[in-house]
Amino acid sequence: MTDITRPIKKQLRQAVIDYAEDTIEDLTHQALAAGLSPQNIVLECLGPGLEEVGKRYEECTYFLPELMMCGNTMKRAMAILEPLMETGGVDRRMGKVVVGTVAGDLHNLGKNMVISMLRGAGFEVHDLGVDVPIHRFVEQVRELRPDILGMSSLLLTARGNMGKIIAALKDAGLRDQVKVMVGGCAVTPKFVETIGADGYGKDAVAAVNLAYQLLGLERTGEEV
Amino acid sequence: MPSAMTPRQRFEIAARMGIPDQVPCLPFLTGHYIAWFNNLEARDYWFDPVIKFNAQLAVQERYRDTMLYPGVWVDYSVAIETSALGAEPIFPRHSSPQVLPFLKSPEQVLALEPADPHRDGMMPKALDTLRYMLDHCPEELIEEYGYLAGVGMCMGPTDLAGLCRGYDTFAEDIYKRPQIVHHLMNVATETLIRYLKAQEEIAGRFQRLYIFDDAIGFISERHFVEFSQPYIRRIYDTFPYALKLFHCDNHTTHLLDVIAGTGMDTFNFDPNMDIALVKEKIGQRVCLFGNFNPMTVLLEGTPEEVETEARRLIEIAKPGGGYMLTSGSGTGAGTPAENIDAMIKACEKYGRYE
Repeated sequence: MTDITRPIKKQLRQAVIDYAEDTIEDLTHQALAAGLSPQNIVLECLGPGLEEVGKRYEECTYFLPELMMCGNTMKRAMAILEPLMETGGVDRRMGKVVVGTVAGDLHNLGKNMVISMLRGAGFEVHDLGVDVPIHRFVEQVRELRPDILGMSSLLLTARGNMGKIIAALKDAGLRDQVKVMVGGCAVTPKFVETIGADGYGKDAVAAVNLAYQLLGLERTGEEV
Repeated sequence: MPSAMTPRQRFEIAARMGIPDQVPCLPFLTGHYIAWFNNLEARDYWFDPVIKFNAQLAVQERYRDTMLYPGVWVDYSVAIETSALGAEPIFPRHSSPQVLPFLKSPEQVLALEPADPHRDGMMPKALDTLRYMLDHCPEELIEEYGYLAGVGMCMGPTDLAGLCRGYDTFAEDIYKRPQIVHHLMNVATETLIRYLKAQEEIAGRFQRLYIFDDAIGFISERHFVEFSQPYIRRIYDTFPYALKLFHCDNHTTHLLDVIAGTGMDTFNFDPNMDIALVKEKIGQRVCLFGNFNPMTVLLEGTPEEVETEARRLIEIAKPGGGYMLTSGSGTGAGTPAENIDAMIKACEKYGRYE
């Protein structure tokens, strides 16, 4: 049977890739009018669009300005979809993520890119900011009950705090309730093993892929 | 047979695409490493010029036969140039100086004017520090290692603009407000030229000019050619007699066809880039300066792994000259001294020219 929503799905995916901020809202309304659920729009249109953006970033045809533009484009679509995902008292967003740069480090670019891309991909994201003390990470995990905690550090002198935060989560009995992902220039795969994080994203695109993977979510878009 | 060349001679021959007695090895040791090595709190190192100077000399003493990169230098990290334009640097106890973006609106950018290095932000303090270091630096380090005298250093205009505006907003401006980007790049460039001229009044006519511009790796070739390259070139062109050293520790493989157009003579590049490709693309025109991984090899590796990696890099980049071994970005706090020694020794072992 022919899928009558296929053309609009394709246009939405392409709008993300082309960072078509001017048309994404219209297309999102059209997709809803065609009967697609907000969750389907995220998983079958925006998510696959983002995946292609990630591929282009990996291939060095897209860079920070293009990621910013794609992130802005997805944000416009999510502004329409998010309220619909919360209807009926049930939150159907992709998952909840708490993100911060660890204490001793004021770098925010990587963290902000991850937040922008995660929000665009349908996640509810809480930004704790930069130079975040250990106890605040623990408090926020306890209070907000996120699916994922993301930590960033660009400084070797600060990255040790990531291990301390994971230890503090264990002490508080919260470690099993949250997946922990880390990133930033100071983080290496070997370091990730030593601190016992669940995953490492080398950039914002990898972080979104990791978030999907950690929560067992699958994007189901067709080839564009 | 031990070489009769001083570290400076070896460096200057290689940097000008010549063939010295051996590939020069210049450990890339910046404040993070130097403060840790001297058991100092980071803030004390970065804020107090006397403590900083003595700490740098102590590290030089540990690696006494080797020219360090950048060696003895003013080093206030990102604080000097950004504060001159209006940022308020923070000096954390355990970390390098950091700044938060302060140019929140396009109107603020358009109102911005080039800084006066004798008046604005931390530039006067940086110039005083340069004067102090020159007055107190052992003659041997100036003559045989080439430190301080005739050396100019500044942040690149792309980094300066990105830090002041916020890299993410700056990236968005490229598409949405390109005139803002050009204005900011013009102000940044003019500020850097003024700062370098002020350095030159103290350090003497430049023989070497270092520009550190990591942000160029964030943008495409098209945007680099429009928004970044002409400004870097303008700075280098202001000092045509100087050897021009360029550092970027972000990925720039996509810029290799155009990056030499900045006017650079040497290129210190990202540790994750393929040195064979860099050699093929620009190695005939530009001295390559890299690209050890300071994290996975120097910090986390063993001396044997360091030697293996040094040998690999040397075998690829040494032929024909125009190569200097260092890391692609600064050596981290906690890096074992035996790993740095292993890098230096590997250069002696595998880097000799017959």
